[in-house]
Amino acid sequence: MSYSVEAENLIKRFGKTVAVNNVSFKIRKGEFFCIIGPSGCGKTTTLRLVAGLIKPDSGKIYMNGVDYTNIPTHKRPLSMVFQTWALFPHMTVYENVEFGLRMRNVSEADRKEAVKWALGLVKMEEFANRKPRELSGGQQQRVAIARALVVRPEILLLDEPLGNLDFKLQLRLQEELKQIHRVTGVTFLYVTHDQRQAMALGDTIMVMNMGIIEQMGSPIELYSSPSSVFVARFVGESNILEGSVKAVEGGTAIVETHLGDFQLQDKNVRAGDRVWVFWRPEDTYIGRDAMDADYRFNGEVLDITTAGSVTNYKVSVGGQLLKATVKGLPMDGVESGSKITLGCKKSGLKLITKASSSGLADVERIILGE
Amino acid sequence: MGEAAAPQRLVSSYLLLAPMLGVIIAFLIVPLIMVGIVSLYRPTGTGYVLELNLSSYVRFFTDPNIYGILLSTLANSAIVTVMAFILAYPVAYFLTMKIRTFRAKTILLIAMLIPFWIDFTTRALSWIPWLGIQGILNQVLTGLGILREPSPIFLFSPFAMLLVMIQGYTLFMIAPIFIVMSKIDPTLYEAAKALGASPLKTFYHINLKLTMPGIGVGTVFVFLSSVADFATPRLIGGLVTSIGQVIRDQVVFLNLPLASAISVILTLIALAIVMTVFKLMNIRQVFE
Amino acid sequence: MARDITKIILALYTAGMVFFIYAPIITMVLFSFNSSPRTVPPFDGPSLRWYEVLFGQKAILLEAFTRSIFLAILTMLIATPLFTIAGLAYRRRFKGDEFAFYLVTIGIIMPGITYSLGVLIFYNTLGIKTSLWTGLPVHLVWSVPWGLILMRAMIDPNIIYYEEAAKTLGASDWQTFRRVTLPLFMPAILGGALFAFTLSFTELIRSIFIVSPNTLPLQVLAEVTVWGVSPYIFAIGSLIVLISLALLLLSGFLLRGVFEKLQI
Repeated sequence: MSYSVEAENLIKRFGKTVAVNNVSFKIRKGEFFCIIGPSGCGKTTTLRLVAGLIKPDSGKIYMNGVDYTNIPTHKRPLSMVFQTWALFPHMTVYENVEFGLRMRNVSEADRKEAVKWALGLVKMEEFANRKPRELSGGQQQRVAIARALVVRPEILLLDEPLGNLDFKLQLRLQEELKQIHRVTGVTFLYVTHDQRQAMALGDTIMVMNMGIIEQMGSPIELYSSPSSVFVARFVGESNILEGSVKAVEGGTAIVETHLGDFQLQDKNVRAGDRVWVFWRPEDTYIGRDAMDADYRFNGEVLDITTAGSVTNYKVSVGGQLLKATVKGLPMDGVESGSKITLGCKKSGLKLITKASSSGLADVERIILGE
Repeated sequence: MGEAAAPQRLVSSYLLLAPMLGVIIAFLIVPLIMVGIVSLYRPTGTGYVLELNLSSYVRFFTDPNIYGILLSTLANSAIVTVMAFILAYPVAYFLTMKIRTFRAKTILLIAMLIPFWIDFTTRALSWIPWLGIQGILNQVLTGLGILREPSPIFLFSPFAMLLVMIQGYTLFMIAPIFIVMSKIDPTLYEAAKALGASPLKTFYHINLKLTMPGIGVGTVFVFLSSVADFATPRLIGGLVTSIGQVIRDQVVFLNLPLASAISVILTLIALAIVMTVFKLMNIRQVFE
Repeated sequence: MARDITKIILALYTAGMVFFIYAPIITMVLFSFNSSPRTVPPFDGPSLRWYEVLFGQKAILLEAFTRSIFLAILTMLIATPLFTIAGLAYRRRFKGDEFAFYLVTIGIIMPGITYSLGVLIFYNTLGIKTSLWTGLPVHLVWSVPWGLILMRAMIDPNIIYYEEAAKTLGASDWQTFRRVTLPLFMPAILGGALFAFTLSFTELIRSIFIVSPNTLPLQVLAEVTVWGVSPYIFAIGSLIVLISLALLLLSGFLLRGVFEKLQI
């Protein structure tokens, strides 16, 4: 297996803060790898370490099996798209895009061809002679992508590239990026705080929090089997009930929560462990459908919102907030304040055994709001 | 990015600063410290003795000839500064807001810069054809009947001195205001308009307030330059003496301690003014 | 409509200001050609006599002029690299950045005679005799801070991002500097250089005690103090105006390409 990027035990401190705390990961060739997490989690720092813009305090970085830790940025087989696009203001679009090729001493004729291809890829051919300040945000973004791709890098680093754009534009460019990835086969290392973007784009997602890796896996893994409360909350909406293990019998754990006891598949827990019962809002049933559910709760509707084809319910059950996402329009007669019955099936429940993968008590306390 | 928000020790930056700082420390800081030290020596008739005392400072505060002149110099400079501001602002505004192309702006600015290359003294003297008794101004005024006969007050008088200084220093007020005003985000004007501000209010809240740092820089520079300027009063100020002239005279009389003492006091006043203006006008904005 | 009226008023005002600045210059040039020693109207008819005086008996002024030019060019050539690399340091925040900046700007804030006095004492203490060269550090102390101010004021806050982008595209440190950093700083550098030259050339107050033989401003002051005002003073002034205009037109013509490229 050839890995485009291998990070080994990276540590980076800024003053007293440890921004990147012993982070290791491997990215396969041609993979679309996303790093997500809240602001300040260390994802951008990690990206910049891979880029070589900052040096790690300890740890190594390999690309295609070669140790690049101490090699400067301009010699690394990568290029980068910046959050603020960073197009050279004193050069035209054409000159911006050809810059990397000039640095590689590509002949003028070849440069012309390549730039044409790159601009075509992002549909910006007619803007070749404009200056960056004459372009809109989305257009500058496209040029930045073209500029980074024209040099045919092995690895493309992207630092929240869609952050400064409006929602619809984000969705469109998201699709285009996906296509470009497919067409060019370049390894993408994509950093964002928008987990929906990452879920839509990534082959593998790495969730970071306070400098450590919370969980790394495919979007499906992260969504359906989060390994910590942090990941469960960060990725998508969730229902989380805190509880403790009452007993373990066979392969089943019985968890006691203040909404009742639940039976879940055991995950090597012991009696007395602090755990959480977790399921996604889509696995919550309401009204009549709740009647056949394994577990039922009665509560009061706090809020109803419709988002296109689904309706989201926020329900208060004994002081606990539960969420349900159901296909279709709101149920007849149900509105804020109505009494409603929720249900969930045993198969939809998962057991979470830790608040954070860091193992750090401080971090856990913050996550749990204590 | 949420990374290093606090300034760090960057060796590269220090290396880059070293040459400039070296020159400055050697040729600015050291001489200034020397002035401070010499001000504390005792003056003899032909020089000074290495004995520390405050006699020069006492002399300053007790001799109305000296501190009085300082006060009048400060007053004159204040007038010059205010007038320079009033005259400069509309020009800076015009250049920033009403002239579109970078090239046109540059040309106009440089056009106003050219007279600067003529040295100060000649520029001061170039007003003589205008301000003398037989000068153009007098001839026009008598011709129009506003004056019955030519007046000598226009030349070799405080009026002449102020006029020349204002003419000379206005550019130094125009430039910083222009630079700062150019940096104002144009969408702010639109935002103000959208919020219902009249043109006058927009001008006050956006234009005037945001140009404060530039005004501050210009004010400081014009004021301090005019305070220190002894050439203009000497040339066409007639009987007006400036504190700069006083210092120079003391040097000529070989009373260096007194000259130094006056200088120190002048510097302290200058520093006080600068710090006050900077605080008031949030100078840091210019560099961010 | 109202905006146009404002524009016209302001344009007229600015024209008036330009006139205010230039009027004495124009009369000065005019009177330098006066056939009589009058420096006030009426103008007595054209003559080159004062230029003859300038090149003959008062050639000392021309010598002073040459010295001023020499010193100004020297100042410009030394000050520019000094403030340029210092300005580059300010692309990033660093410990002591504001302190260093204030230290440097003391040179501007300091009243000129105070500083000149200090340098006089400084040279006396070190036993250095005054010459043209002793004026150089003084002129540098005066012009370098302005260059630095310009550099800092005209910096693009995103400059570090541009440099990083260049590096990720394969540019070495030198290439990044040459193709990205330097072009973006060029207006400030050129402005600072021009300013340094101007400040040095017209410098009087700071040089008074410690430059000898005299630069032009000092010489004019001396002449006028001793002999009073006479049109040959206007002659040298006019000469300067003429040369400045010529230089300006020349550089505008030569740098036309540069200007277009720098349209930021």
